[in-house]
Amino acid sequence: MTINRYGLDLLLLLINRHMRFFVTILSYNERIISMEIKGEQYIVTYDKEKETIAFQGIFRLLDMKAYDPIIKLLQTVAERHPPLIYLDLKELSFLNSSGFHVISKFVIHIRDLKKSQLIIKGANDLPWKNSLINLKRLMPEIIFEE
Amino acid sequence: MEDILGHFVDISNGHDDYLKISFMPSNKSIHDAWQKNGLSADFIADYWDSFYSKRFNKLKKDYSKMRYGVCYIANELLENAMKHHCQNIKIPITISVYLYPYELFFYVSNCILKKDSELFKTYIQKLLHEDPATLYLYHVERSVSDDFLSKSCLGYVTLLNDYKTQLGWRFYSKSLQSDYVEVTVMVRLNINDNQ
Repeated sequence: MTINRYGLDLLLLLINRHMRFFVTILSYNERIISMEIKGEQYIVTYDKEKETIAFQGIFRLLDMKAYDPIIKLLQTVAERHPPLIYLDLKELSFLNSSGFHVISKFVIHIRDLKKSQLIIKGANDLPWKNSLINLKRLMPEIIFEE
Repeated sequence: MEDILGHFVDISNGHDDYLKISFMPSNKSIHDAWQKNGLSADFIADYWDSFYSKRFNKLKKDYSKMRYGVCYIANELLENAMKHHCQNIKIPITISVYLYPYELFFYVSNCILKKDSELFKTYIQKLLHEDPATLYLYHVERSVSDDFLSKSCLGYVTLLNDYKTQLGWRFYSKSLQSDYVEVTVMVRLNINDNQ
């Protein structure tokens, strides 16, 4: 639902009862300001001003298909080609292997586009840091920050 | 009929310190049943925590890494079992965790169709004989261009690569004519309190 094409737009979608998540896109003059995907146990947000995608909560979705809205959000950000993209994982408390696969594919996407530097925030304190090291194998240029 | 692959060790007899959780398949959709995996994995991690925290310094970063690992392993095994379990057969999905001072053994059992078991065994041979870091790169890179591989296939790879576990499988069927095979996966996790 677009409230005003030339003003501040708020798009709110309920996807389906199985997936159980909401997508909110805030835009101005058809330019995205922020996006949010909210599930029962997690939130993924994108803040354009800070070029930050933040994962918060527990990600135990059924399979890669269940991650589709999150994959779309990541693709949208990657294809805007910002010089820096921050992936903030400080508040991510659990990620299953399908979720890790989603992040791995995002890293490959950024690597192959060759337009953005990817910075992962909170990487050094995560209890699953061993898994993050794999991302360096995919893209050695990734920067890990506190 | 029994077929053992990998490092499978049966310790179910002779060790009393264990936790076992079972759930029967129900008429609920997999979406509705899915939360049982996370709830069980969280409980197993809490259970482990209550016994091991006395021995470890809880403030150490590595302790939270180990606790996360216990939860992650239990969750991955249950997710796999639920995805592939034959829903129309009244055999439960079961997870057992055996606690030893310096290691944990996870056993997760479920039933699959016999016709699917050969493909699964081929995948297991790959897991057992190839470098897990290389397998991770292979699966992720291929999945970018191949939608079939978007099914992930990363669960066992991460257990080997990120948690340095040993894996083993037992395939058991009552008779050659049976359409189903009971699969038990074993994961052996080293607990190192010098970390």
